[in-house]
Amino acid sequence: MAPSGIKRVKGISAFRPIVYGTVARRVPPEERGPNFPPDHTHRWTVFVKGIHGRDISHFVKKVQFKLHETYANRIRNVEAPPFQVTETGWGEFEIQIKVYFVPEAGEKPLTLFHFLKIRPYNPEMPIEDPANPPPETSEPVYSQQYDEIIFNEPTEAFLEILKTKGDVTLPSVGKANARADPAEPFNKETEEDEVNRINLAIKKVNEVLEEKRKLIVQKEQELAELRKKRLEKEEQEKGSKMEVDES
Amino acid sequence: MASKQDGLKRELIALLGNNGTAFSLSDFRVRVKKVSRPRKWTRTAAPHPTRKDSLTFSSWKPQGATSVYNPEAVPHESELTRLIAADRDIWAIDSDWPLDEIMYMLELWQAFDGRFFLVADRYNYQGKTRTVEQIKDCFYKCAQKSGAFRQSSVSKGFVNFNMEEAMLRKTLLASSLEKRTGDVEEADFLFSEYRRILAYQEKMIEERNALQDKLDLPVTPSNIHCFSGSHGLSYLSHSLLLSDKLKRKRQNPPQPQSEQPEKTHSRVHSESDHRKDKFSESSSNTKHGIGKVTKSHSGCSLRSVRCQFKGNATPKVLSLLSSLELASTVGMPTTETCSAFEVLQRQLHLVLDAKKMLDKLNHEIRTELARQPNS
Repeated sequence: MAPSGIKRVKGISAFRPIVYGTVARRVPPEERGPNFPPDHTHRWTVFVKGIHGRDISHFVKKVQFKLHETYANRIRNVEAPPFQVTETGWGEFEIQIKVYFVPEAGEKPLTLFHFLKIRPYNPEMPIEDPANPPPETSEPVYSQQYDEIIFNEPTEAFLEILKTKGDVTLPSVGKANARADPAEPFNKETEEDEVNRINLAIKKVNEVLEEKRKLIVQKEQELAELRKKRLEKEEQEKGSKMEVDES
Repeated sequence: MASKQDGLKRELIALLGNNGTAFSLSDFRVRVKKVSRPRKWTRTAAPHPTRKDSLTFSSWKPQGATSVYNPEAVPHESELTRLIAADRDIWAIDSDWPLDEIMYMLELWQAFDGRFFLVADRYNYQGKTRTVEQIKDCFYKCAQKSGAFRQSSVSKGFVNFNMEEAMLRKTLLASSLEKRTGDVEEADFLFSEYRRILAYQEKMIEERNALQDKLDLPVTPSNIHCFSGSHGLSYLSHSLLLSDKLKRKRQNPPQPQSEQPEKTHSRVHSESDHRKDKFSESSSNTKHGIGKVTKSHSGCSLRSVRCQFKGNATPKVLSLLSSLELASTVGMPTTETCSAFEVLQRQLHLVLDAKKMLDKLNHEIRTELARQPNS
């Protein structure tokens, strides 16, 4: 018999939102201390957190960050919040993030990947001229993703934890402030924007579909007419042939 | 050292050794004695219980026995010969068997005590030979015609003698005896293969019939992309079966039973129902992100993974999205955005289906134009 608490609750699903990503900032030369590696230019932090700083330790036990192979001790384990690693560097690379869950969950760790971004991305910016690079700012560069971890059929013990701890409702910050804070861009308003964007896409696709449908009807009619015409002609030819034979 | 034995015991010890299983030989010895004594069998008259006429029957009887051994008594050969001789006109009809030859055959039959194999072996009527089956056929026909067996229960078996069948059996037996191990194995293999194919065919017909029965449903307006592939039919059958099962479940909800174990089960069921209802209704569960699901696999996953395009049509969908200048990913995969995205996915598949349909129609129009008589 399975020990109590390990048994899974059928037909139940729970989810928890998480935000993972990086924040990087250029460190001006005057601020670089003696321990700052000479070839490094930025200080960055990779993190896994809850939305708007909400606690995730009730379901996350440990987070493992796998950095670039050039870093000493490239595998960093963080076993208590905040689940983050701060480092310095000069380049961008992909970080592997492994989220370990609390023992009550009885779940295997989940692996995520995130690309460290230390320079801001602006598609409208002109192509860089290597001779005259644009002046670098010390503004933080955020690159973060929102996702939801779905626990299907959680164990009884874990369900008890999930029922009492954690809040999944998205905070509302008002339409005007939807994207005001780059550190916390995920809120009710952003979600609404996203839904609207998808709905607009659906509308556009529906229009295309309607066009195609009309075209199909038109083509079907055209085909039917062609077939009818051919059959009529064939009948006529057959009739005239029979008349000739009889005569 | 074991004492010297004799007779059967010695033979057994030689076979099994000194430590053989102990058993008594007395019963065995008696039986052997009884069985091993030969008895003389003699041909004796066997009166038939159902017959009222003067026809005499004969059969084999062991020496010392009080009753006739074989109840399947055949008419006395001399009787048959007498009958045939008395009514010659009946027998002259068959051109294949002249009356003289019949008489010759009966003589042989009499000489060899009705042993057909010997009759066939010694048969030499004016240089002509006959097979066992031919002789048997003739003999039984004669016996039938003569009316000797008409009232006998034994005659039924003889009347049913079919020469063609007997010949076929013989040929089959001869061919099977000629077979080598390899041939037998091959035949076995072919037979098993044949049976497998037949079973498969039956299964396929059954499945097809079941599917056709199920296809009497209204046409769905939703996406049928997943059914159009090479695995489409099996997928369709699977999903139809599933929906059928669900339908049946809905139609027959679990009834409360009077028996104790059933009671427990229903109690558990109602508890879980209650729990589920509680989950769906409670606002705290909405706050904690707990809800009901109809179909799920245990384990954890990311919602963003569910908002990705899957399947063979993915490149086409992506190119369609880029042609419409739409993003192919969800920036914030929440329940609402994902459900909206699923709708978008379905619509995109419909567009692809429509495109395919248009291409097909265009092709058909081109073909039709080429087939026009004046073209």
